[in-house]
Amino acid sequence: MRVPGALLFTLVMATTAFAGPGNHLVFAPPPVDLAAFCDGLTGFDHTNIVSGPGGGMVWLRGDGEPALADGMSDLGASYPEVWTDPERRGIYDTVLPPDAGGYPRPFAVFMGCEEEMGL
Amino acid sequence: MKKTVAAAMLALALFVFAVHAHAEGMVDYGRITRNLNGEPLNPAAPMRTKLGADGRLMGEFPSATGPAWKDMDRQPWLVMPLRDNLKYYMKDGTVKEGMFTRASTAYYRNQYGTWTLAAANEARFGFENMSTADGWHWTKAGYTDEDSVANLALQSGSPASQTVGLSTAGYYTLWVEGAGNCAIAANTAAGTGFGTATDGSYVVINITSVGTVDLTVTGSLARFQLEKGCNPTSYIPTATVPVTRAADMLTVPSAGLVDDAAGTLALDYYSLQRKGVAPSGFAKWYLLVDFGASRYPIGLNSTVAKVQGNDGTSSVSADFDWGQKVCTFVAGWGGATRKIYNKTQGTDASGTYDGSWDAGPSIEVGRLSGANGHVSNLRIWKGVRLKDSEVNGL
Repeated sequence: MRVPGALLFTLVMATTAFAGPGNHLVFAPPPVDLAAFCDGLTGFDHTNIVSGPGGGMVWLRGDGEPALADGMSDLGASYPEVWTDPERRGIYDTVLPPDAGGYPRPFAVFMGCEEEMGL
Repeated sequence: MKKTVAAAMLALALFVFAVHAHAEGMVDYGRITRNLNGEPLNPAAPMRTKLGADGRLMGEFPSATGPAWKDMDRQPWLVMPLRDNLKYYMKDGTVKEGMFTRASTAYYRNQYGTWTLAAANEARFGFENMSTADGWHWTKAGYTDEDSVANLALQSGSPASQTVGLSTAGYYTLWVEGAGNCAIAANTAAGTGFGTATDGSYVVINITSVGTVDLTVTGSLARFQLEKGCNPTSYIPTATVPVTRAADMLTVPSAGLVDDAAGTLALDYYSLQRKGVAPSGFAKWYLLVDFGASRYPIGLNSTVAKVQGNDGTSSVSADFDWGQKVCTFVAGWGGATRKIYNKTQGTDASGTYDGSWDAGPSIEVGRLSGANGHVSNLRIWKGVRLKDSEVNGL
């Protein structure tokens, strides 16, 4: 069955238009100043920043992809997505070490987005 | 017989219309019988009028060089009450709606002062406890505009003593609700302003060296909130991690609204700066209306206590006392000059205008650097710079 091009275009546009804002867990190794980065950020909201020996992390929420500075990386869109990937989990743990039981600790969430962020 | 009845009905309709038009004091479509002060003009020589560019009403005034056509249209092109919705009314009679986004849920006070939840992308029109002629009442304060901020105090709906990590320097505010109190003291962090918050009296600290602070709750509290910045914002419930409320963003398409050559913009603002004074060195910008690219007709500068406008080349500033909670600000521009008015406190200032706002695709109301407060009664006059006497009459 062929799908008419106009219909396909409409479906794609509708999906894109109603996608809504997305979450990004941003990691910055030292000496990147996450506070300065967040102050200059437009189009995205950010949570409180967590800092540790391995660098800093912050959650961003907004439409599209944030323009990250050199060395920074987007670890994922939810806690489970980051924690279930060994490499990303390793980075996460260098900033915020796990609790006594070895479980990763969340550090921030956007209001009303607890489920979406996996908490 | 039928023709006679029809003619009689037509005559009656014309008579009723004529009487109505006379009673309403209507203009006779092309001639004006009163001047701008409402005084009757010479009936033998009524003023000639016409519609000018963009539909503006022009009047023919005497001048040294003979009769000259001048703009007589003093009606705002846009009126946006912002009392309980985002509708705005254009001079041509059309009704439109501003675009609002907020990427999270948020609380606001309803008419009983109760915290009420608004969904993501739902604009808030909060109430504030205001002093009125018959006492303090929860009063509609207009469109609620707040910057993004996190509540760092955990289990904020059942406050208990705890240690909180502060990872960035600067000002933080602690506020509480309930009969008890909450003291904030330095642990590994260093700073100034530590003290005890009670219901209605918040504490602002300035962290100069990051680390941890101790919150010590005494007695019974219903809520508490520790947030970045120097004024309390709406309640953010927390459980086991800090929770962030996203920023409010209201935009209106600028096309056809901003005339670089001349214009006037006015709005009312209710400040959440309850202490009345911005702490020393709190360099925070409050852009109430932003045209983009560092151009804004009305903004607040907490550092120097001014209401300011900036056309991208220079700024013009009028004194503004942060103790004033309800304010009306006006910006007017035309030719090579512009003026900003703090109507409530009777200050104003003139300055040069580079002749171009270069407004982007949309006018942003509030936000951008944290205009925490309420904005209402936004009005824009296109191509018309109101005179001082007209601004005073707003």
